[in-house]
Order: sequence, then C-alpha cells, then structure tokens
Amino acid sequence: MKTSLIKTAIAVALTIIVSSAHAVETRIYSDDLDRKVEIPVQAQRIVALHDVLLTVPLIELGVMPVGSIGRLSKDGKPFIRSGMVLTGYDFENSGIDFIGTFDLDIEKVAALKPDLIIATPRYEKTLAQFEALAPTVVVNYNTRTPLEIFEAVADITNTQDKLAVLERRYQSQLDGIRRIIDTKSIVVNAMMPKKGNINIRYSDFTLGKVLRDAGFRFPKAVDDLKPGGRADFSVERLAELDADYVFATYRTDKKHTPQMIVEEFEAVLPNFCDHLTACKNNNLIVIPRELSLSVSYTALGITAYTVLTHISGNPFAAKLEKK
Amino acid sequence: MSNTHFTLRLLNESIALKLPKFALIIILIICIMIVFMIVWSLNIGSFNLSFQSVYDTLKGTETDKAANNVVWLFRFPRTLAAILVGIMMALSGAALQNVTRNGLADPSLIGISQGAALAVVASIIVFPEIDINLRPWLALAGSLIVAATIQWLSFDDKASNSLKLILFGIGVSAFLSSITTAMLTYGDIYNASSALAWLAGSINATNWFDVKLLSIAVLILVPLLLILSRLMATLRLGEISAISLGVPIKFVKYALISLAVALAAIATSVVGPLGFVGLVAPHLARLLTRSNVAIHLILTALIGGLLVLVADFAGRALFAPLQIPAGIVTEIIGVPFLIFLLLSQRRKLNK
Repeated sequence: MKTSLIKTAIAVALTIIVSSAHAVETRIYSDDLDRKVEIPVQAQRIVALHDVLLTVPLIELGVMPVGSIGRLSKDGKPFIRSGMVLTGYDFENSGIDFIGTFDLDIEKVAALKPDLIIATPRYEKTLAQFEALAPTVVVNYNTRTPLEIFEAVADITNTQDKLAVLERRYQSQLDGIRRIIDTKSIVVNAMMPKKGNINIRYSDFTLGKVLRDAGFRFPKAVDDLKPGGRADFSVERLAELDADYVFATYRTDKKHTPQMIVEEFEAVLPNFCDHLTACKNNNLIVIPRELSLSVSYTALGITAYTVLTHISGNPFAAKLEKK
Repeated sequence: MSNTHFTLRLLNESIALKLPKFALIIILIICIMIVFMIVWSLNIGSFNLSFQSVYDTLKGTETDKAANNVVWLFRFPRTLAAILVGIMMALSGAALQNVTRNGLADPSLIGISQGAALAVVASIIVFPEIDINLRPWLALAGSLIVAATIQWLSFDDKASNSLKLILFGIGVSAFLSSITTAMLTYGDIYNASSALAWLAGSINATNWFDVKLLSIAVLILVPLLLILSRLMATLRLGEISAISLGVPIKFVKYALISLAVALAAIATSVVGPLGFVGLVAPHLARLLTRSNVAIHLILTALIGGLLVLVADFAGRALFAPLQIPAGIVTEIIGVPFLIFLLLSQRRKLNK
C-alpha cells in the first residue's frame, strides 16, 4: 500500500514537471489595431507576412521565422527582398519556408504549424483565418516609421535586449560621422526620378534617417514635407531640390545598375547634371536601394559608412566646412 | 414526348414545360463537372489531407483542429463563393447582353467594376483608417451609384437607348479608371499594393459570411431574372416586335439592367472585379446549345460557376504556394476568347 502510494506520488510529480515544462508561457500583447492578443513569451515558430518589414528585422534580432512571404525573381525563384544582402539568409539557406508572395497560400501557413503570426494591415480582412491557426498580431506600416516597426517586432519577440545592442552600435556609427564631418554645414538630399518627376522623401527608411540623424541639412522644400512624407516635384522645381550632395538609389534585386538611374534622370531632364550643384561637383552618389529602403540596422550601419566615406576626405566637403 | 424535347408536367398539368433534351444533357454534364470540381477542390491544397480525412472532417468525426480549419475555414467557403460569384457575374453579363442586344456587353461596360474599384481604392489609399469591414459596402455603393448614373445619363423620356448606354458606360468607366490609376500611382506604396490585390479579384479571403451574403443574393435575384426570361425572349426579336407583342419595354429594360447591376455589384463587393466571366459564360452557353432564354440562363449560370471555380482552383493549386488571383486567371481565359469572338463576328460579317 505504502509503495503504491509512493509510486503514485512520484507519477503525479513527474506529470506536473513534464506538463509545466511543455506549457507555453504567454502574455497579452496590444497590437497596432488595438487588439489584445495572447502571444507566447518566446515564440518558436513565427510566420512573417512581410519580408522587408518583418522577416529581415526578425533575422537581425536573432529570431529565425519558420515561414515568410517573398518575392519572385525573373526566373521564378522566390527570394526574401534584402535578405541575402543584409542578413546572409534567404529561403535556400535559412530553413524559412516560402509561403507565397503577398497573395499568400494560407494552407502553407497552416502546414507550418506556427505559434505566432506577424501580419500587416493588408491582411486585416483575413485575420480570423490566421487567428484560427495561431495568435496573430498586426504591425501597422501606415502608422509606424520603419524603425518603429523594428521596435514592435522586438517587443513582440521579446528581444529588446538585442535591439538595444543594435541601437548602441548605430549611435556610435553616427558619432563617427559627426566626428569627421561638420554635418550642419552640408546640405544633402536624396531623390529619385519617377514618371517624369523627381520623387523626394522626408526621412523615412534608412538613407533619410541616417542623413537626418547625423545632422545634415536638407533643402527647405524637403524640410517642408512632414516627417514620413514624400512628394513628386516637377523638374521645373529642380533648383529647389539642389544640394551639396545628392543621393540616388538603384534596385539590385532586379539587377539594375547605377547607370540605369542616371539614364532615368536623363529621361526626366536631358543634361540634368548641368542643373545640380552636387552633380557638377561629382557629388551625385548612387547606392543600392536595398540599403536605403530597408528596415534594418545592418543597412543603417552600411549606409552610415557609405555616407562617411563619400563625404569625408572629399576636398569639396572640406571647402564647405571652412565656409 | 418528341425526340428532341421532353415535356415536364407539374401540378396536374397546370404547369407544362417543353425542355430540349440536348440542353438538359449539357446541364447535367456541367452539374457533374461542378460536383467533381468541388470534390477535387476540397481535397487538393498545400496542406496535405487524405480523401478519408476530408470526408471525416465534413462528417464532423475528424478531431485534428488543423484539418478542420483547412476544410471548413479555407477550402469550403472559398469553393462555394467561387461558384456563387461565377453564377452572378455570368447572369449579369447574360442580362446585359440581352438588354443591349450587344454580344460584347459585360458588367464592366456599365461601370460596375470601375465604381466598386474607385470606392475601394479610395478607401484604402486616401482613407486607410476606414474600417475594413465597410469595404464590401463601399464597393456596393460605388457600383450602384455609377451604374445608376450611367443609366440616368443614357435613358431619355422617349425610349431607352442601348447604344447610349454603351457609350456612356465606356466614357464614365474610362473616367473613373483614370482616377483610380492616379490614386494607385501617387498613393502610399503599401496601401497601393493592398489596393492592387483587391483589384486582381481574389476569392482567397472569402469566409462563411460572404457565402451567406452571396447565397441570399442568388436566391433572390436569380429567380427574378428567370421570371423575366419570357420577356427577355421577346426582346431578342427587337424593340418594335416586342412592343407589338405588348411587352412593357421600358420596364423590362430597367428591371434587367437593375438585376444585372445588383448581381455584379454584390459579387464585386465580395471578391473584387472579376473580368470576362459575364462576357464568356453566355457565349459558351450559346455555343454549346441553342435553347430558350430560361434554359440559356441556367446554362450560363452553371458555366459561370464552373469557370470561376476552375479559375480559383487553378490559381490556388497549380503553382502553390504562389497564388494567382481568380480574376487574373479568368482574364487569361477571357482575352483569347474575346479575340476569338471578334474574329468570328468579322468572318460572319464578311460572308
């Protein structure tokens, strides 16, 4: 009798230990649609419904999702936009499953047995379907700046410590720029040819953020845009967008080249270089768009060094600093 | 009973219908194809489920939650919605072709798709804070307002004018499309991409509420259209002949256009614009068999349902996990068919 009681007690204790080890610790997260969602404290099987905005930040925070949206290359091969360049990971070497492009395959998501789905407002109508599979939180790209999206991803995945390290690294990179360059004395701008006009952004994404965080000045027309804003300017207003240094970007995922962007500028305004101070002084800097339009601390770092190396040591910049 | 027709006698012969045997056989074959497609659609997908598991899930004896989700939340409502949307778009096209006596008429001709598109794209790009659940209602309102405006512009006091309807339809639709394109071009890139997804006409987001809404619409509107089928037959003879037979032309035309608008607008509000079904299905029905208007409408509805079901299934399963919206698949089928139709008409005219 005594032996059987001891056996029973041991069995009960073991059951409690095993079940508590398997019980998933959860917490309540209030997402960007003001929904209170019970999510795992440490999600193990995350599916990300945006590659640039969610998958890349997840990887940088050290969390490998089990599934992600991707894009298709010209030869039909799926890829994570900016994934390989910024993180070294793509579908073929990461164990991340391709779940489709933005018109995703929800059955594929179900097959991955996720314990957390991170969505964007694009999937608001189908949230009930996702919620049937796993807790689903929405990160709103309409209300958050790219780096605020990064913060939300860190919060959801409980990786704020890692985010703090990345932020500290970025701040030291900015200090490096400010130490070498008198940023307040230099006017910069980032522009893109777009359907016959010049497209300008205030500061969203990487390039604009680095330039503003480092303390560079922008043309008044750009400052007049509200933070996060963008606008198309007629080429007749090109003089208002002139700067000491002008940045432009080209798409590497589509195998574009810097020369293609120059040709696009030429198409908008023949001999455009004659109308830009930066261009006349050989200070038109063309960089890959993956760097400038990412939600990535790696991209911030590379962009910071790109800005530093292009502007510091340049005799023209030195001349400006003396003024 | 003749060799070519079968007479259906109901209520002690108070209702007697003479039905062409060949058309009935075609209807039966298409019904079998639809049932086959439903079974196939429920069994095939990225989530591997055995036939037995699907059967058990439908019976309610399957205990696996994931299997239940896949069958009941994803595959089943989507399959039914595809059929219902196909029926509605096809019948809308058939009614419009009848009323305009123009074989190229389809719901986009009278601004239904463009009105819905403008309302939804504006809500996504200009007013992204608007509740997403209002989107179907905005699409419906946009469709109805634009269709009503085009009808109002094209009808005068004397008589209805089909050519005016077509011309105003093309003009207003082009105007609305240009505004929609401007919003897509200059709007926020993420919102524009969401709007484009809606414009592609996708059935993947449909749920049981959508199925309920579409079913109610079909149950109310399709019988009304069938009731008008006899009057539609007289319209085929031309307006003068119809008037001489005592048909209230203006009423019939208003009623047919209103039904066509309601059918297409409700379908569009749920899944987005679905091109060419309204054009292709009535012609395919006519190519398969010549019959009276009621039988033609039934055949058109079934072909429309089958067409969208196949389009959705192909878009979902052929290149999975890549998903091709049903609207794109129907356009891939529809455009060559339209060219074929135009060429065959030109050949007839040359003869």
